[in-house]
Amino acid sequence: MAGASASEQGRRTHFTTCPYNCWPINCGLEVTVEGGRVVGLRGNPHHDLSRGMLCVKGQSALEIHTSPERLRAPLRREGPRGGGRWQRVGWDAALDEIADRMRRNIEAEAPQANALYHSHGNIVQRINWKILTPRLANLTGMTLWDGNFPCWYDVGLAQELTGFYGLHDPVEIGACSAAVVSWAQDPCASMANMVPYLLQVRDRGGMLVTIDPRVTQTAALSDVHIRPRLGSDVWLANAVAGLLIRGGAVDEEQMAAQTFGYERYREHVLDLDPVHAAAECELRLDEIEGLAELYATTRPLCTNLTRGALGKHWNGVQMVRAVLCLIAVSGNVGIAGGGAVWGERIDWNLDLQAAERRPRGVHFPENNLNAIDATLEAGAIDVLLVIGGNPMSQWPDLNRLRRQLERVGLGVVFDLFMNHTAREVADLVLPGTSWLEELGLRASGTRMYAMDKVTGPLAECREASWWMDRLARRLGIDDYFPWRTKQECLDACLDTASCRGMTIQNLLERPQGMAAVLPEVPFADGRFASPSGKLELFSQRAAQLGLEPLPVYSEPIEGVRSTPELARRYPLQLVSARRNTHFHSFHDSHRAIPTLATLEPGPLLHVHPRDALTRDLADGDEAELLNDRGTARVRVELTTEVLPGHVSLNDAWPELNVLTAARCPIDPAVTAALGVGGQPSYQNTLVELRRAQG
Amino acid sequence: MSQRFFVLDTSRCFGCHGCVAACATANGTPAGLLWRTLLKLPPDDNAANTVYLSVACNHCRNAPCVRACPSRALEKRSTDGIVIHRAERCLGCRYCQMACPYDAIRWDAARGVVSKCHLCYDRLDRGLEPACVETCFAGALTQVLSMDEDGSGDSVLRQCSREAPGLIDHPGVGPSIRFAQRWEGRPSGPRPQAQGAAPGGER
Amino acid sequence: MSPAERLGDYVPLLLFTAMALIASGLVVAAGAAHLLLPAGWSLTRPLLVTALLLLTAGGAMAMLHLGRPWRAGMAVAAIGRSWLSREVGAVGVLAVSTTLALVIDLAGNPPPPVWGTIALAAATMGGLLTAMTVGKVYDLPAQAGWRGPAQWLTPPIATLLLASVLLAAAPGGALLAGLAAALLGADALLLTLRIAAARRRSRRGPAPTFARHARVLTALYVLRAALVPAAATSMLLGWHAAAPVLVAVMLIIDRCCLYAGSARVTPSTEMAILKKERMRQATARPRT
Repeated sequence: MAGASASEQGRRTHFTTCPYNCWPINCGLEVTVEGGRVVGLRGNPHHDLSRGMLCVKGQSALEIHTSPERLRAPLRREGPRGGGRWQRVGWDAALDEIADRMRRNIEAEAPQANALYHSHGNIVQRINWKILTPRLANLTGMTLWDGNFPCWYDVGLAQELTGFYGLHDPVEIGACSAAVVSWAQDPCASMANMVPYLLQVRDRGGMLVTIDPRVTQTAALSDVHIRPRLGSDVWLANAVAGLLIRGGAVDEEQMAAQTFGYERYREHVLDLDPVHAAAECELRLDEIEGLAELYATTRPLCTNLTRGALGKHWNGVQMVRAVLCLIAVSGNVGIAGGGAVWGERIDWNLDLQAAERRPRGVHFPENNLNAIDATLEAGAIDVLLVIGGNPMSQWPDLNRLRRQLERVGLGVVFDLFMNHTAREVADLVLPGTSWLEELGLRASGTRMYAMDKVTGPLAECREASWWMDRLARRLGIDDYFPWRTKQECLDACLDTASCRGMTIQNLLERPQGMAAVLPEVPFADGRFASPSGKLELFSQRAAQLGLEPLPVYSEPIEGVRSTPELARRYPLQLVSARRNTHFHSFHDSHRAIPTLATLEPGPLLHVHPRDALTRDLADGDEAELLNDRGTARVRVELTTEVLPGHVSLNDAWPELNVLTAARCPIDPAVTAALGVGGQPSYQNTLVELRRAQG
Repeated sequence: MSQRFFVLDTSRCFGCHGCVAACATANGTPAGLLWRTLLKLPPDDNAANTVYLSVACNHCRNAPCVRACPSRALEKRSTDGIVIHRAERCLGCRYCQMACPYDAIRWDAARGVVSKCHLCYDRLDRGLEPACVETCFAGALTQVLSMDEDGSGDSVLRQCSREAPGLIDHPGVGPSIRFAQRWEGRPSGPRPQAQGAAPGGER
Repeated sequence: MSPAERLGDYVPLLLFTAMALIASGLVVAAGAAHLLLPAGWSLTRPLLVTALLLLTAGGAMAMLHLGRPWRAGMAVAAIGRSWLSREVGAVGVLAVSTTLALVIDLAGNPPPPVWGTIALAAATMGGLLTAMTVGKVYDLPAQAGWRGPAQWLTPPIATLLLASVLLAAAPGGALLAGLAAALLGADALLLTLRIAAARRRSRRGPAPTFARHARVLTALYVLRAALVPAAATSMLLGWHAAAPVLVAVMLIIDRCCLYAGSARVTPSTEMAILKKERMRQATARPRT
């Protein structure tokens, strides 16, 4: 292998990156191979951002590759769905069956009945996610859905409506930021690789602030912890902005130059009485004033803004808009160490997605929960390919979804392990290669890294592009994979302005990665991705689409205040959370990974001792979580990390989504227009808890 | 006599379990057998003073396991006081497990012997840090070689506490672990409640 | 991981220890009988045979519970520092000397040759050492349920008690009834202290290892306590055969109480105590 270095004992060292998807840093890995077997795995010390560190999941990553539970051959269901009986079949037979069924729908002029859903698990290397999978769907004319919608789409919509994304770099933050506000974001749990940079801020005398109703791990490391009522963040952000304006801390000239709609925004937030806001947020006025003081006097201040958590509220778009506007008026846009942390800045050659080859005149349902739910409810999907995803754990309202998916004619799951979707919905299960068995690329902050192919594929496991090519050919598409080698393909993907000078060969020779060609500080040039070219405090796009142009509060669709009748029967608010030991429901909720499974073998519900006491529940008791949508069994962990009236569950477990509702405030037309929006309102779920019966 | 100490800064540890997994990976322990444990003390109500304790073997000055072992499979090495278990002398009687007040010793049922943290002495002897120390994102877990058994001669260790929530300095045992709290800004008590808010639970 | 997750895992050790103590009591009785009573030697055979049967069965159980039984020979390597090593040594001395004494007894009629007396004396020593080391093996700082003088004195006291009630039942042993009564009193005192300590622990902690078997543990303690007056009563009523049996049963029940009462001190249990207090305060304090 090109990137390997040999040593006397016949050991070779390869460099790749971790197969999980912890934005914006994806940690580097150094893999040692001897005699064709992987014998060691540790952090890549040359990696510019992760610097040799690996979290608990990365440290256990070899257990993915070597797991005896890995799928080894294509399987065909025998007996009823969910019956657990499978028969090995060959790839050809499996692909023939898929192609035949897809062709029938194409010939019946219903190509949209063929659907493909792919998610994080297909992110093993970036180009599967960004280019090769969308390319298959576009060339064969399939409905294309992906895991962006449950993850961050409404946050993305707020950014599109504002024209501002953040995009600051952890290294920059660690070196420059005077303060970091983690707003509905728990980096300690969901991206531990950010923590050294946060602690660097603290060690330099900077401040760390956490805004979250829960006492997160990040809150325990922060100087200040603000606990607003669940979903009240619009009040908080608008009140702080109002205090800044009132206090004369806003550079109005800068606002005129940088933003659009400042006058209307200013009037909007000044209309708000901070005392009223404090009551809505259930905070003390001095806490809001303290936050305002921080934004006013401490610069540069970086807001480590939610990746997806706020978007999982009915009012999520407005909440994120409110915070983005606050960042703007506080003067933190376009300065080093300011703004917000977001994700990838490097662009890929998205022309290769071949979006223009999609059949015209066909209505393909949008990547938006409302569109997806309506489509499935109508029974309009005949073939469903699930690639590196797990809807039967991660999509909302699982009992409803199960009923809907029963009507899918052919369910196909491509993954490394059996998971809930494979067991309950699949007719065919296809075995995927692990990340060590594929050559690929990964972006990390502002740098690009190669993912070296370390070993050959296990048994009959194959890369996604291998079988996608063969499927495409069966459907008459012979240019799905027009390159001679994977290396050529990757080089084509790198053909962009920011990746100038990068080739896979160059990258394989550089374990330290290569820097992308990007502006020093995001948005320092004052150009924003909006109709006005400015940061839109008053969003023109929102107005055009019939959405609120200024950040406003609305009560959640389901909540203790908004649905008091329901709250009488189900008084607890269910909040999903992240834990270090799990990355969503990867690897069958990590039950296939011994170290991770030992650390959290099953769903553990965080319950405040007051709520436990009134329900006669003790630490470690088996309990049932229930509402009108279903009942789920969990184990109770008493903790003061949640507020009374809240219960919290790791989103790795399907038990969470037995209770959530398949609701989303954004019309698919918005998604069609802007390419984002459509996130389920997971966090607006009321439940009751009781001892397990039997 | 020299002694190696683990030093845990509880104002930096955020309970990520990285040390637990790094140890398992570096030492190749069987699936699910973990030498290091991470414990959490939830915060006081309405406060953010969660405490995380990462603990493996404390290589005690007067190690109860060494005193207990009938076949001398556990010995404290003289160069730095690391307590090392030699599997070839182990009977699998599990008496050491009963004797250890820090639950450091694990039972390997497949092999019929016990095993435990050995402070990565093989790595130390090659000039590397123990796997748990090397991986710690927060710089919370470190190790120090003190010239005296008690650590009272060492400038870093002298400023540390001997105890932390969950870790008792049992008399006569002398665990070689110390606790730092380098961040003074850490809030320690409950934050005052919002005015006018309803008592918890009755929102 | 705790040494034993299930109470059942401890059964071989429990039985072995009880058997070793009973065997010790029998052998000490035999030795004392030979020393103190007229025609004492003639009483020794049944005691030695029973002791040897118990030691064989118990020894087999102890060996088999090891992860690596073929290494058992190394178990005396740490006699200088390990109470377990000392216990193994003591049981070894007990078993070997008892066998010798029995062989000598079987070889000829009483009175025994001098070798027989020496063998029996060594066996008696072995029995006393076994009783003491069995007690001390459990005296660990890590075991709140097992440590302390009230706990580690119980096996030697109970062993001596067994020996004395056996002797009191023998012809000419009536004087030893007083000793037996004193030992019974000492045992009762130690038991009271142990129960009081267990109740203190149930309030403050550490939590019992087998908390789910709490009712079983209570029942065992009740039974254990009841056997004390039962033994006393049977002696008073002159039911000489019953008293040693009751004391032997008491020894077994006592070991059950010990194991079931395990309360390990670990960082987990210590954290649990602190957590319990914080959770309690979270429910007690009004949220203002």
